[in-house]
Amino acid sequence: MLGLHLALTLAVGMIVAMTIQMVLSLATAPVLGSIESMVPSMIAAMIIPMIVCLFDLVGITMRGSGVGALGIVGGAASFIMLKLYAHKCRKCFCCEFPQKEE
Amino acid sequence: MSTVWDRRAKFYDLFEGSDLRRGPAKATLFREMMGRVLFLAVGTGVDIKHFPPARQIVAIDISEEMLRRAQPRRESYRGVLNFVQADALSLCFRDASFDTVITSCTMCSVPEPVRALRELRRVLRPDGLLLMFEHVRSRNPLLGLVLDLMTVLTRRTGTEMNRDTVGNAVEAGFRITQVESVFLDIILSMRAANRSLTAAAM
Repeated sequence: MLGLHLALTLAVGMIVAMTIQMVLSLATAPVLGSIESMVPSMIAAMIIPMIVCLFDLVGITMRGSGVGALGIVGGAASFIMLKLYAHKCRKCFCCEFPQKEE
Repeated sequence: MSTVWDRRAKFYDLFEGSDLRRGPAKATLFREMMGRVLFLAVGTGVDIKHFPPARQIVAIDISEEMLRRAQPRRESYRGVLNFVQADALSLCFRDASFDTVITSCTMCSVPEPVRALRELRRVLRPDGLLLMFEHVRSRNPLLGLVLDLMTVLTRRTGTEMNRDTVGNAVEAGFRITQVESVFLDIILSMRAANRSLTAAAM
């Protein structure tokens, strides 16, 4: 089914995932901050439906539990990537603006 | 414009009051405020608890409702803190009348950010300091795309998530002296000098 309507499935999957993630991130916003909770959620919501569709494209159709497992792995991978990117950002800004002006 | 923020005032503390990551970064940045201070878009006053004591601060906001909700926090501040209802695009202050100007999550919401920053430069003394705690568009393509998509929704409520505030400050005539990451390259703590100081020194 995914193979026949790939673009539509991808779009719907992304919209549903992003809507759910947005609601969840709004719920955590009072503690974590609106941007801090929403940006990582959106990345997971964008990428994971893309991976499901990509798997389908190469002939691997995922069932509910498989998609759930992919969600957990994808979420963890997003978290690690953002941690690494945060480290890179701090280093970059330190290099670009090395001295603090008094 | 003010009516949008009057409506948002009810939920402002809930979504913008988080201090887990932002609190320490704001406190560090605000510690540098000196002399006569202009604080832009004080909102419901969630940032007031991070102000260092014994400063002379004028805090503005476009929304009357925001200022009304900020009153209890204003009264708890141990220093001089006055509120003025004003628009960042046309400030009711004389040229070079402030030593420090501070913005906190403001440049995402002002309709013409470069014009607003030029206005800030006008009221800032030539040797004055601009401190900004702002969220901007990420330089990472994927994160940038996420922020672009989020802007499609947030623009309706007066906030743009994908602005180049560092670039806008430079375009307005400021010289960026320091940028620190608070959250990735999206929430930044920035310091800038009035460029006329550089010109005068040359």
